[in-house]
Amino acid sequence: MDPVQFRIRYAEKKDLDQIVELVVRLKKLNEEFDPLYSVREDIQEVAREYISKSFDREEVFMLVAEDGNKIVGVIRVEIRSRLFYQPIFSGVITDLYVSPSYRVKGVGSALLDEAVKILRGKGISIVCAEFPPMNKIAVDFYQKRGFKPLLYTFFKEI
Amino acid sequence: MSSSKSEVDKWYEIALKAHRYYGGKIETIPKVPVEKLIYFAVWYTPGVAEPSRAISKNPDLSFELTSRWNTIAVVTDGTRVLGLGNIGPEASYPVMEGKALIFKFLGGVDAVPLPIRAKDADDFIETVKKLEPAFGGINLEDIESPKCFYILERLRKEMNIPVWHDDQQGTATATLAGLINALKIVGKKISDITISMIGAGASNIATYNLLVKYGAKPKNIILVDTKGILHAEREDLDKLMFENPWKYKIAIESNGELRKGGIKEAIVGTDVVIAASRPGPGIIKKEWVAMMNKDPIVFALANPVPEIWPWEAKEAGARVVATGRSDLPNQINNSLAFPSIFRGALDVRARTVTDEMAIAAAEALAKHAEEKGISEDYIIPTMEEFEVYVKTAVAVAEKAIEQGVARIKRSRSELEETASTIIRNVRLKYETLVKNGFIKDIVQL
Repeated sequence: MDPVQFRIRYAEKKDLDQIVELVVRLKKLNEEFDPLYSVREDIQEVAREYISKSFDREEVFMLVAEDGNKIVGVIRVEIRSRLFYQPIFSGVITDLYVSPSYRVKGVGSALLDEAVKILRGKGISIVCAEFPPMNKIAVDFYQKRGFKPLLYTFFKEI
Repeated sequence: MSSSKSEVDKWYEIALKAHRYYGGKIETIPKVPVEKLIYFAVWYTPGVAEPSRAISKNPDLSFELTSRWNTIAVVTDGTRVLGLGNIGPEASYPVMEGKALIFKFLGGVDAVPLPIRAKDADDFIETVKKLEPAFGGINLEDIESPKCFYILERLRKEMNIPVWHDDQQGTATATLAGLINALKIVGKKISDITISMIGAGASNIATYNLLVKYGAKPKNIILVDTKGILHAEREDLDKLMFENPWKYKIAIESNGELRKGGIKEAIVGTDVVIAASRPGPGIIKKEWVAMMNKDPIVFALANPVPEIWPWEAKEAGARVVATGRSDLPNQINNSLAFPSIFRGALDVRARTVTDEMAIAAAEALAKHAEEKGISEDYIIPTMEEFEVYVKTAVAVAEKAIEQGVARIKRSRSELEETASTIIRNVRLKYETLVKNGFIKDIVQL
C-alpha cells in the first residue's frame, strides 16, 4: 500500500463541514452495536451543533488529520473533573474517527499521540476513551496502547 | 443451447434414483492381502502394536505406517450448499460424497465425507482441529461467507496439515489458470490490466487475493457486490469492517480511481471482467461488454446459467469468454485444481497449501493448455485430459518442497512416478470392478 501524507493540527472553524461528516459516520457506526445507539433523524444538525459548540468550549479541544485540503481523521477530547478522586482532571476522548481509506496507516495513533501530548502540557495525567463495548476495533486499538477499563456503564431498558 | 427446465428436472430424477440404487457413491475396500485368517496377526493384533509403538515415538510416522498420507476429510457445516443455501449437514452429504468421488477418481486421493453439526464458526474450527491426527489434509466445502474466510484463515494458521477451502481457493486457482492464457491470447500483462469483478462472495474475494499475489494491481481492480461498486468512501464501510473484514480490506485497497456505481459502471473501460455472482443471463449486458477496452476477456462463472451467454459476449466484441459450464468452451472448473493440488501436497506430506502452491497449480494448468495450443476457445484444459493432473500435482509438490512446507523431499521423476501410478491405478482398479460386474452402469436403472 502506498504511504500516505498527513499532518495533525488543531481543528479550525473552516473544517466544520468535514468534521461533521466524520462524526456522523462514527455515530452511525455505533448503530451496528446496539439498537440503543440508533441515530436520531436530525443527526446531521445535532452533530453540527455539537462540533461548532465544541470550538467555543474551553475544556474541549479537537485535532484533525489533514491530507492536502481533505480532513481524513478527527479526535475530540473533553477535559473533565473527577469530583471525588485524584488526580482531579482527566482527558476524555469522546470521538475518534479516521476515514476508511486512511486506516492502518498510523493516522489514529498520530491523533491520539498528539492529544496526549497536549493533555500532558496541561498537566493532565489521565487519558480516557468512551465507546460502545461491542466496538472490538476500538477495544483492540486502546488495549494495544495500554488502556484499561476504568468505568462500566451498564444499562437495561425499563 | 440453454438448459431447459425439463432437462434439469430429468437429471434430478435420475440422480435421486441412482443415489438410492447405489446407496451412496464410495466405499472402503482393503488394499492388503488377507488371504488367510492368520494375516490379521499382521494387520491387527498382535502385530499392529508395533507400528503403534513406533508412531507413538514419532507421530510423523503415521504418514508412513497408516493410510493417513493419502486420506483427507471433506468437511462442511452445510450452511451454503450449492445454490440451496443452509440446508444442514445431513443434506450436504451427497455433495461431500460427490466431492470425495472426484478426489479419488481424478487425484487418487482417499476422501472421507464429513458433514458436521457445528453451532458456530469457533465450534467448527475446534472440531476440525481435533480431526488432525486422522487426516493428511482437510478440504472445506460449502460454508457460508464471510464465516468461511474466518474459518480458513484460522485453520490454515493453526493446523499442521493442508487446509483448503475449495469454494474460495479452487475457483480462484482455476480462474487464474484461465486468465493466464486469456491474457496471452490478447497480448496483455497482468500488471497492466484493469479488472472488474462482479460478485464479492467466497470465490471472487479469494480470486481477488490470488490475482493480486500473481501481480495484478489492487488499484486496478474494481469489485461489485449487491450494493454496488466497492470503494473506500462507501457509506457502509464501517459496518463492513466488523462484518466482513476481508471485503473491507479490498474496499480500501482496490479501485484507486474511487469509481462508483453498479455492474455497468464497473465493467466499462476494463480489460477483464470476472463475474461470480448469480445466474444469468442478463446480469451482464451486451452493451456493457461493448464498452470494455480492446479485446475484452469475459469470465461469466455463475451456474447453471452464466451472467451473460458466451455468444452474446462475443457479439459485443469479447475476445475470450469462459464460463462454469462443461457444455461450453473454456470451462473454469474447480475439479481441474483440487484433485491434483491435494495429490501434490499429500505426496510430499505438505504441512499446508500456500498461495504460491495454488499459483504453481494455475501455471501448470495454463502451461499444459499452452503446449497443446491455446486459442480463444481453448484457454484451459478439460477434465478429460488426465495427464494434466499429474503435471499439476508435480508442480504443487515441487513448490511445497521449495517453500519448505514439505515433510519429505522427492525428485521430479519420483513425484511424477508417484502421482501417475496412484492416479492410473485408481482407473485400473475401477475398470476391474466394472468388468467383473461389481459396478453396474447407470443406464441399467
